[in-house]
Amino acid sequence: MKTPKYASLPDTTLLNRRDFVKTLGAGAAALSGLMLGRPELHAATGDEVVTNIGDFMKTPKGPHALPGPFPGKVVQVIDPQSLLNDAIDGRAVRRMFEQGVTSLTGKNMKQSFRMFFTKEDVVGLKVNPVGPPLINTRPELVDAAIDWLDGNGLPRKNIVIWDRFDYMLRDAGFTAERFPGVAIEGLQTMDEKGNSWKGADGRHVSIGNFDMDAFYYAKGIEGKGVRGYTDDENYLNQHVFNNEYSYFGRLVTKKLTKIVNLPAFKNTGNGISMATKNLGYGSLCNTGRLQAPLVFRVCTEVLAAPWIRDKLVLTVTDGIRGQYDGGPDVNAQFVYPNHSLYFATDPFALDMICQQQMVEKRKAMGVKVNEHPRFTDYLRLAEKLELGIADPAKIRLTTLRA
Amino acid sequence: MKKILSAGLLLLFLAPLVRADDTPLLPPSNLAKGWVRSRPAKVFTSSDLYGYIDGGAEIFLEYGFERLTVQQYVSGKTGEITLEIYRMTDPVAAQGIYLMKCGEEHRDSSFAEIHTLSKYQMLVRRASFLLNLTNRDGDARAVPVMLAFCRYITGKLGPNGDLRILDLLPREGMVSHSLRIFRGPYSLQSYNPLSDKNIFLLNKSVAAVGAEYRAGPGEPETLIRIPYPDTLAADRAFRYARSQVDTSVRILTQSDESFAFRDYRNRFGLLRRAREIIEIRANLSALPAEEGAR
Repeated sequence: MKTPKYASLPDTTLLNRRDFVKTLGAGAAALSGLMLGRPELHAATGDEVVTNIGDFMKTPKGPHALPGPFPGKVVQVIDPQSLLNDAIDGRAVRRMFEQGVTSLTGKNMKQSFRMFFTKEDVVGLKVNPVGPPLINTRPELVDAAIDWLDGNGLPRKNIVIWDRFDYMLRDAGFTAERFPGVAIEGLQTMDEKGNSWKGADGRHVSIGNFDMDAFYYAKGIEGKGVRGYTDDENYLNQHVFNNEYSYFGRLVTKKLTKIVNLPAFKNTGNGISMATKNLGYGSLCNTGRLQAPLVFRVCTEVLAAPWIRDKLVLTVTDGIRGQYDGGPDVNAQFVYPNHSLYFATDPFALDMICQQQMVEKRKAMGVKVNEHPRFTDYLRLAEKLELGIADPAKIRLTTLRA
Repeated sequence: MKKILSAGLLLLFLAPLVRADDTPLLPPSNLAKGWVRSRPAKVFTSSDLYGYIDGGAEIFLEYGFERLTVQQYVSGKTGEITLEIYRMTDPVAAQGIYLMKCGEEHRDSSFAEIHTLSKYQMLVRRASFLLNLTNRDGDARAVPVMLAFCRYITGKLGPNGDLRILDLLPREGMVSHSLRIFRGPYSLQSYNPLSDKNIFLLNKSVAAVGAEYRAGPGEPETLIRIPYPDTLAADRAFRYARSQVDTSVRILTQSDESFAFRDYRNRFGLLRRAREIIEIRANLSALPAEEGAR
């Protein structure tokens, strides 16, 4: 092999190979004079983006508002039978669902239903259809949720499986054939290539699906010139609007009376894409502009909006499989059997528990992990806003093993 | 005659500006018996990659991405393989993405290229290209098909390209699967305790390499090296980095060419500039003796 033609690294300043190996794990320096307190959390800077979170917080809370009747309580049900030889066992998933709900509420399934729903409710099941068949919300979990609702007198036509994009639901198998009698609804459509997303008036055909009176506002953050989009047309195709407003879907604001959140179990960089992100980025449009400047903060502030805060009664995170790296898109080499479902009325406590477990898994698999507080600051923000519990010392995790 | 010559010269001038088309790389239907293309190929450029992989697009854009060509193949009622051909800007970009996504490699002894393979997915790096194949249902019978597709494509690609940047790091003591190439703050996220911003001014021309090293019990230490085009560029990056460290980082000692720091976990680190190279050592349990004595 030829000798590389880089300038040699001076031994007096940078270490050569032999010296580097010698200094690994070198003895302590004279540090006794240093004060070793914990540094401050990532402090807010003066140039934080202004949003309309204040308006959300002024709205009086409804009777089912976050964090729900069990703040800080998380139940994890583990059953190895749920995933055997790569096949999901729907019966095991159903058992786990029942165990989790009853353990969370302390009541039987019928009583639990009455705690959260009436027979007149219109219940939205927010799934994550990304990455089928490996890392999306399992249809078997959705079956269990539907059977619980249906079995307690909620008409199937009052149940809506939903996500942001209609085609993603189809690709993941959430179809009328698979779920007869249940509504399947995407907030919007998107045309990967072509102009079918445009109506006769030149605007997005999905505009009418969004509520102009219900929005998440971020001052100065527009969907124009966002990296990764050719031009305004390309952005609008995916995001419907490109101004400073992300409008909530009318399904969420006008039709649904309750929401059951069914996210997947996966990472996104050193954070997670689970309970709060499933709704934070899945309930509204024009989110491409938010990723870079606000990323995780959206997950808390959108859930503070009354259309989510007052309707989200239960989250069941689908951890039958997990993905510990390469997320949020599917990367099969990082998918692993986790055999778990996680239950909470408090999505922030749930995400904190799942974040901790994801970090441990990543470390166990040899992934280099950055545990900087910036990856969980949004959960602590939620606690400050009294939307949930994020302090691990205050979270009560109950683990049930089949 | 003049007109023909002029047209020819014009074409020669414009040729590099005409987009490369990667669809000729796509295996034809029935290359593997019974596997056929199910729909026309889709092509995404750097301008519209978010339309395909949304949350996963940022890392590709950071490394240097030119084009993605996607083709789906089906066999019978259930077999489905999605083939993605990522044309990156250069071999460093392609290898950078590959190292981020491959995890612990599982290689097939019959396939000589840089790759990892499972029954659900195959990832290959050759030249400036990254191939990603997803076998939707994980049927093991589709694995030879994925291999056949990759052999077909890599047979049409050029040599692997210059990756001498990797020689900047010592191999002895390196934790396996920890080697990385970085081209921006997103790829650096797990390795850089100093900031989540691009404080080292990485770009398409300036990449960094990093890895973890273990010499005993306890956490491995991190080593990152960044070769700049010249001393001036390295010095500019050094001064910028020193001025932009995160508020959770405390600079303990500093000079014109180095500074020692303590991060949010009370782990120590050292950043030094030597001519055109910046070196960062991080996640140290203690500072090297000569730094602690300053």
